[in-house]
Order: sequence, then C-alpha cells, then structure tokens
Amino acid sequence: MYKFRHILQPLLIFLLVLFAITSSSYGAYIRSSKVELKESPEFSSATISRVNKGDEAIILEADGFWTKVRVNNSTGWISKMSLVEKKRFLKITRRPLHKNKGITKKRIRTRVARAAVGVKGLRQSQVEKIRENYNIKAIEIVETFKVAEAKAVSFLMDYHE
Amino acid sequence: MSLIFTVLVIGSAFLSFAQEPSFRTRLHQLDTEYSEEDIQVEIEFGRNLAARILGTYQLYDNQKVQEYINLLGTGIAAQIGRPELTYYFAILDTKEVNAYACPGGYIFLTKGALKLMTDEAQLVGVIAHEIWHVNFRHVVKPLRIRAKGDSLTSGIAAIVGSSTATARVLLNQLTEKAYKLLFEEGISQQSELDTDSAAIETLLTLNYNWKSYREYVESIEKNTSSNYRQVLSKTHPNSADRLESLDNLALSLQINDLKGKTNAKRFQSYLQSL
Repeated sequence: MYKFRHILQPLLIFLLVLFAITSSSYGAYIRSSKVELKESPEFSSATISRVNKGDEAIILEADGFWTKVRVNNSTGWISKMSLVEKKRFLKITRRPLHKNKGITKKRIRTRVARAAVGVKGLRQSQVEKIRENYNIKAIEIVETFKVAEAKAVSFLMDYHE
Repeated sequence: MSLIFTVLVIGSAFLSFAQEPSFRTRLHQLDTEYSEEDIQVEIEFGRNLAARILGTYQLYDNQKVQEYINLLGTGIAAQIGRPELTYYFAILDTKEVNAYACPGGYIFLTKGALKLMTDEAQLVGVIAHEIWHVNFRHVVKPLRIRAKGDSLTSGIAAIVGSSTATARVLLNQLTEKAYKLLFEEGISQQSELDTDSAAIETLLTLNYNWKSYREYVESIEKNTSSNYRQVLSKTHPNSADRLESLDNLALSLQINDLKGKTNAKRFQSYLQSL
C-alpha cells in the first residue's frame, strides 16, 4: 500500500500540474496589423506597445469587448476582434472542387442527387431565364480591382486630417 | 502536507478548466469548425451570387472612386476580415441606398449610398458592417453552404465548380435562394444589429469617429425617398431600432465623449467626381 501511494501520488500530481498549465493559458493569434496594446480596458487608456499580425497571444482575461493578453513579453488589453483562434493566414484560392483528390465520379453523382433534393423550388423553365441573369464577365472585372495589402493598411491607418 | 498540495493542484486545475469555455466563447469563432473545402465552396458560391447581383446592376465605372473603395476596403479587411479570404469591393450603379456582402468576400456598395455619405468614417463603418456579415457567415449558415454534412443542401462541393448542366442548374437554384435572402427577405434583424455593433467596434479600433456611422444610419431615414426606405426596411431593422441599439452600445462601452478621425477632406477629394 505504501509503495502504491509512493508511486501513484507523485504521478497524479505531475499529471494535474501539466493539465493546469496547459489549460489555464489559452493561445490565440493577432489578426490585425499595428494593434494598440492598452494599459487598461478603456479606449482612453495609454498605449503600451503595438503588436502585429500573426504574433502569438496568451489570453489572460476576457472582459466583454476587451481581452487581456501577453504578446511579445508585454501584457495589456486589446479588442477581442483583433484575435483569431487559429493561425490561418494563408489565402484560400478558388479551384474546381470536383477535381479534388479523393472525390470519385460516383461520389459526385451521389452528392449532386442529394443536393437536388435540397434545392427544390424552381421549375426548369424558370431556370433557363435565371441563367441569363448571371454576369460572370463583370465579376472577372471586379477580381482585377486589387491593391497591395500593406499599401491599403497604411492608407487606412496612417492618415489623419 | 502532500495532501494539501494535492488538493491545491486539483483545485487550480478545476478552476482553469471551468474558466476555459468562457474564454473560448467570447472570442469570435471564425474558422475553427470550417474545413478548407468548406471555405472553397463558400468562395465559389459567393462568386456565383456576386455574378447574380451584377446581372441585375451595372458596375459603376469610375476609376478614382473604385481605387478609393478598394484601398479602404482592403485595409479594413486586412484588419478585421477573415485572413484566409481575398476580399473584393465594387460599386453598383444605382440610386438605391444599400450595400451587400456575398459569402467568400465579394462586397458591393451602391452609388446612392456613397452619395449620402459625408465623410470617410461613414464609409469605413459601412464597409466594416459588410465585412462582418462575411465574418459571421450570415448567408452561409442559414443556407448551410458546406462541402459535406448531414443537411440536404450541405454536400454541394460536387456542384460548385462542376461543369455539368445539372450541377449548374442546382447551383443557380441555391444562388436564387441567397439572392432572395439579400434582396427580399433579409438576414435576421438581430444579425443586422450585431453587424452594426461590430462596425462601431471596428471604427473604435481603427481610431475613426464612431458617431459618423450613427449619423449615416440616421441620414438614411431623413434623406431617402419612401420607396427606397420600403426596400431597405424589408432587409434591415428600422433606423430607430438601429440607433437605439447603437446608443446602448455606446453607453456600455462609455464612448459618448470619444472622438476619432473623419478624414472628410480626403473623402470629398476622391468622391467629388461621383
């Protein structure tokens, strides 16, 4: 019995300490550029430092609009909208999904059939009319309206009248 | 002694475990539950919906205004948008006062809405409002636009992007539902109020004057004809409800005396040719 306690108790303590450490500090990432880290949860509060997109943040406390975080060895308050839970900063682009690896023609047919039941509501005669209402060329023009992100952020953030 | 230590450790572990969900629910849950394939479906679907809108309205052809909208829009999207999306901004050539957000990041503002605005803070607020619709997936969720899933309309990965006639017809039918949601039925009133609040929070975070956005909401009621108000009232809460919600938010955030930039001169210089 003594031997059992001697081994089990430290093991239990070790596991609980590990659990406590991993669950109490909750990680997230800074979503935006030039985010002001505030001294207290108020807009009028002094700015301690600025943190940047992709920086790792440890969440210490949440208070409505504000979240207390530790970022790059500084601790302060930022808006919760400046945080994301998952580091997904790579852009996802369009691609024909039926060409995705692992989707067979049989599975495609099954899914189309399932969806056909789901999107019921319009007759075939109406569908032909609807097709005329789509302007794919115009959307291709919209997709050419691009500006560099860094230039746009500077245009938005650095100009004051 | 070791017993006390054990109790303390168990207690702290329990407390941290109990706190954890509240932290998680307070953060915007933007993308943890959506796969890459779900997002690809959303983009393709949103693009189709945007093409549908451009089948109804012409693009407003003015390079200077277009450049201005894109500089501001891309900047705001970089700050508060979903990082995995590329956002596009365009102006619809219509006198109607409105703005639309399609899934995947296709955002439209009407020429009528721009004419009603008086400064850059108002424009930033309206663009932020639309970006938050995309962030909150206000079209994706009710229509269950997912690559795979249990619902009847989820499993649409095979349709979106497929070149078969049947698939195309099905995609267009689903797009018509989304079009109806944006232009006739509207997203839920609460969703509109939530995006209004998020727009105000964005303005504050970007150091813009939040009151400009309030003035814009107020001006819709005052300066648009009853016909346009009728169109807008189908898809948005009435101005009085929106203003009350904004005032409550201002009270809770204690921002009534807070001022920010309006950049009215820059706004006028870009939009004088409108």
